[in-house]
Amino acid sequence: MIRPATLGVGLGFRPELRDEMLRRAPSLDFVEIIAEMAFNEAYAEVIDGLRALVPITLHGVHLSLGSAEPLDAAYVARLQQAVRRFEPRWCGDHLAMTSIGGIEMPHLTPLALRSDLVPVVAAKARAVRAEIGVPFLIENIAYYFEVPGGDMTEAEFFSAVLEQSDCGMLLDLNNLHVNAINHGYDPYAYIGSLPLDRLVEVHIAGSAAEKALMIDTHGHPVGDEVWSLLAHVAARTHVPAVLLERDQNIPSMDELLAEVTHARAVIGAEVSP
Amino acid sequence: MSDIAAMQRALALLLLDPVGRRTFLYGGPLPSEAGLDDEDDIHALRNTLARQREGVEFFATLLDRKRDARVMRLFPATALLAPREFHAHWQQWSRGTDEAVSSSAGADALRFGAWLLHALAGEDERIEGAIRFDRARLLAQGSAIPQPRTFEGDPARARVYLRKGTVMERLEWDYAAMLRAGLPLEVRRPATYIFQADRVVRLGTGAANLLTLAALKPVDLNTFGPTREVLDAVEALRSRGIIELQEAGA
Repeated sequence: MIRPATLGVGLGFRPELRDEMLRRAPSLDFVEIIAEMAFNEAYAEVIDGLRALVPITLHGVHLSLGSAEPLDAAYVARLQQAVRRFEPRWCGDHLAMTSIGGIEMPHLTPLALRSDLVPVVAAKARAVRAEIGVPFLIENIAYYFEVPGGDMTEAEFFSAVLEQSDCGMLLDLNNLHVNAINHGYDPYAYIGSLPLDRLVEVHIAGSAAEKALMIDTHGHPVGDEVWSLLAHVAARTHVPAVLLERDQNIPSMDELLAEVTHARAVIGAEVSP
Repeated sequence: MSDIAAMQRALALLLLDPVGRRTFLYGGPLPSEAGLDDEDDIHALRNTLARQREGVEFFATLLDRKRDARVMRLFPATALLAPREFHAHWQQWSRGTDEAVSSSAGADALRFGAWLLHALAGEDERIEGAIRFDRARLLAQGSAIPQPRTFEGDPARARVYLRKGTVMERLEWDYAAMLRAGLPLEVRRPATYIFQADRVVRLGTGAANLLTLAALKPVDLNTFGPTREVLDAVEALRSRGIIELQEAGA
């Protein structure tokens, strides 16, 4: 796999930030668009406005890469169409399932970490990559319950899918942080077992404790633990792109840009002009 | 279907969105309590239950420990979510405008599952124990990204608020879930249930209509062309402290 060119540090587009992001996009290195928004003509104008200012990437939530069934051809066709239309640097989606056998789930549902599922998922990812013609990234999800029947660790499963699919890695460090707490494993050991030469993008976000559970809220500033994980990753491999995600309790653009600037410092990226 | 696909399907059945099948249960009232007297609804509910049970049985078989505590831990739906927790998680599911409707439906699915498993718990003390044990895990799925759907409303402008204790919190997406329950722009049932703090509030059709509309788009009573029914509903809700109407632009 050839890693894409470095993008720097970007921010996820959210409708609430529309005007501010259009105004201050030059302060970002890139903007990530939820892929399904790019399917919707209502967002075409703002996406065009953003990509006139900075590179964009697409990040989907409903490919259902992990379902043990064929890809949704209609979905892939729409993704392909969006890629042609908006020319993102790359696309990504989650190592999860959101539909199976015609049943839709409005959740990123975890997979059984079974070795015999790896080739199924990898084949689907390869097919998507071939169809869309730009790099395709696979992201680790946050999960709150384990599906039984697995014979691999989460890191082993993630790594195997990446290797067999020859796709890029989208490492969500907040998901990792949350999972490590909730499932009791060492996030640094997890990172150490990943094929970091496949790392293309890192997601950072905030989380919050809810009683005994850590929740991936995307509603708080990036926590110290996640910054530490980012520094740890950056010390071990080149980090082509970092994306800040914020979906609720959205602060001022100044606050978000401060986090973007901090991320640049952590990974040693140049400041965007 | 491969055994992996079958397992995934069973899991999906456990998590399935009953709203998508025209059943809607807020807080898990039994069909008779929910006013589901329509034969179609009863049939849909039974189907949903049967499918959920199919998922339960599948996993029980998979682990060869029927209704074992470990089986119950599989289910994010084992949450016995208090309304406050439910709301907190609903917020986490919400990722802005487009996705919020289905995120609420996802919360519904968990709530439905909680009801189902609670019912099962009555049959087996071990399950009840497992549910208690896993209560903290019932805050499941907090990071889940709901499937996108087109949503034309602007939540920043919605002006119907639900009073929760002394705090006014927006719960408009809860009502949007009702819309997805096969209730396009009107609530078909003679009554619907809306959570208020720790109790269930039964609302009349007019009030439910208003709240459902508010979930879809800002309700401006000046342009809404309120009928007597809506005005009565507004007053009923306001006097009971359930909603607060704000000035345009507030």
